[in-house]
Amino acid sequence: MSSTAFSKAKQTLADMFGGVSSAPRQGWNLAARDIRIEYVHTKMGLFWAFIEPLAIAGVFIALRSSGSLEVSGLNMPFSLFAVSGILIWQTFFDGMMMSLTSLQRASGLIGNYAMPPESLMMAMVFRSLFLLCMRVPIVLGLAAAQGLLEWQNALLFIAMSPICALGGVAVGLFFAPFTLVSGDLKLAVGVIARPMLYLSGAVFPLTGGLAIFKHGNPVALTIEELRFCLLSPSLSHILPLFYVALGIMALFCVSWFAYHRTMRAYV
Amino acid sequence: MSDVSTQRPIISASQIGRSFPRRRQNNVSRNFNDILGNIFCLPPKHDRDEEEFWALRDVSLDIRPGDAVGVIGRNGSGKTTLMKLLSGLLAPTKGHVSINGEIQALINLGAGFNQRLSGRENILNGMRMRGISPKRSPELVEQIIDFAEVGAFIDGPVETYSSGMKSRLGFALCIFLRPDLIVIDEALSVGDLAFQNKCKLHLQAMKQQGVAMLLVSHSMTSIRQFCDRALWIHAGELQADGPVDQVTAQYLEFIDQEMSRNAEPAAALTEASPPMQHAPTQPARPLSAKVAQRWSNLTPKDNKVIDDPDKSFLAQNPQLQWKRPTISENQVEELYGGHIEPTGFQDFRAVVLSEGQPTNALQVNKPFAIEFGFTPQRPINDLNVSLVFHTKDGKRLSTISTLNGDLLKQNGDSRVLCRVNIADIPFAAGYYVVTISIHEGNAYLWRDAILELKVSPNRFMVWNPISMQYQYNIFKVSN
Repeated sequence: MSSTAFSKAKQTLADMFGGVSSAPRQGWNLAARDIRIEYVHTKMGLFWAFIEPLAIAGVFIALRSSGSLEVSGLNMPFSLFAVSGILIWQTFFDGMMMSLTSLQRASGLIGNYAMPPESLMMAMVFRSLFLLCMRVPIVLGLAAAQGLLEWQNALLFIAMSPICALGGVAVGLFFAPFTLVSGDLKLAVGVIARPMLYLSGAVFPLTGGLAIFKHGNPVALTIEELRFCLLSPSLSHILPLFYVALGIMALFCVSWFAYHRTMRAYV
Repeated sequence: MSDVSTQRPIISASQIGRSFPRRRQNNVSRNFNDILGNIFCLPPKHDRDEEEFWALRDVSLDIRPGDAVGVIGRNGSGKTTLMKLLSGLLAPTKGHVSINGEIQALINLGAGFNQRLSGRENILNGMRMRGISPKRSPELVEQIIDFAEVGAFIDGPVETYSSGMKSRLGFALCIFLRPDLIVIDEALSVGDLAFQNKCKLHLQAMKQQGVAMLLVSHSMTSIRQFCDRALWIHAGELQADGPVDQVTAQYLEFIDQEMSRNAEPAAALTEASPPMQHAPTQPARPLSAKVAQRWSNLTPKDNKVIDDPDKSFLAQNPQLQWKRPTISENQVEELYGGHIEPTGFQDFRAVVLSEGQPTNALQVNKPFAIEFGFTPQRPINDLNVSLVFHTKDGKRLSTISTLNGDLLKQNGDSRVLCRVNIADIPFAAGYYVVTISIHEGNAYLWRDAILELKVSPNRFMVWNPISMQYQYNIFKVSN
């Protein structure tokens, strides 16, 4: 790396940390604004954000009660398995797509407010966490209804589940600058990511030949380990989750750097 | 107040430049590489890449508190890019911009609004985005709403607003949030004349409070009225940075030369002007003889300051009252360029004098004078008065302004008393209307019809609106 590149990187890092000071407040305002916009013309408002995971849970509870859908060999009822997996995966996916399109959606704002890229990034994190907050109670409620939840497990699940939101945002932010030069990228990411719902162990366990998709797939690993948090977590489950969290944080930092370098340069 | 030159700059730009790709859509792989290169902090390849063009190159400048800086240049010269770089809306490809203060950019008014939210919600969001708590400043919200004049629409979604309403709301939001510097990119054409004037008055007041201004405009009058310093940008480079009079004069000289160069050759024999050399001169040059001549023509040399106000006709005749002509405000609005209610002064009087006597009846090609006076209610240091002569049906014929020569610029709160001597009324016989514009900076304190003139014919026939003074020389040619 040349000395110019090194000094640029150093300056970028300084600007990144400089931008962090106002980012949480501005990010929160941006996220609150976006959430308000989403529900502004609705009668039930924020309740809609809660209805979606509730409906998913309802479907799987109904399927289980009817006996029409049962998967054997699981360490938990299939409805809890599927609902927890789908909601964790959905949080990852929403965070990723939101961040992926953030630069295009916010171009009007970026063109009018001299806000640091960190504000926009924090807005993605807050919005993703908001969706997670609507989903976690459903998972915990379902586990409790089935008599499987203990309070310490619930706390662990609550503490660790944000890594799926952060992971989605990190992946989205990493690719976001490239969506400015090619609209294909955004569509391609969506097309590739959606089938991953079924190949990440979210709905069905990855057994047999499908187990190959589990290896090197951080989303599958996150879903699996977070499920264990609901039951009887041991160090052997918490440690991998901890490593996943570290990996996501590392990816988040790289994405943050890329996002910071490109936001004002390309929008 | 401390010396402005010693204060810390609000903006300090050092050798900034910005390049753009010419064909971004057509070259995806190159743009991917470009972004990757940028992420890895690799030096841009733009210098040797003909697909990139530099919108701005190597500009260095400081803007300090209280500065009022005009930015001039032809379309596409890089003015808007400079504004965006200075306000932090665009990152420079080269160089560095240091910002120490709150900057409001009035570049694309209303573009940051969400269409689905109401005007009020957008105001609240805008305030929060700038770190101002609406709960702690409820009066500010009401001030913005009042200023924007959107009335009952304020609680309706912005998507139902007219473009003028959106612009007014955007403008009000920007100027009420107490910035240290306002960047205005041709944004003063929002709303109708009255609203524009309200904005200009507000900006003038902010300028007096020490808020720095950066104004982009193609109107040299606005720039000269409002700014003390000007930057001339040409083809992405800073051509001149200096006192507003000198820089605008240089620019006008350049435009004049450009127009001469592009015009068809005249039939008469003329000596072609040599093309102007564009050396990157930072300080403004002294005016060329040609420009100096032009400005001296515009500013009559025999302007006088008379120490004895009692010599004025109005002072000698305090009983003489001025009566506004019987022209409705609507007529002034529609025919004579717009009506603005008076503000900031009192006791206005005006009279037309012919041969020393008050009259409204004049004769073609005879001398006459107009005297007017008024008393400012507060110090006005950027004062200008313009008298505009119109035909009765609204054709604008001539303007006489104190802007030529900045005759009243530092008037303060003294009573203004002026006589304009006109050696020859060059209009054809008919009825004429004189309107007055009293400006503070480029905002109007008043604009209205003040006098009606009846011009009678002399013994010569006049066929057109203008009657020039002339003298024939007839050469007797023998066969």
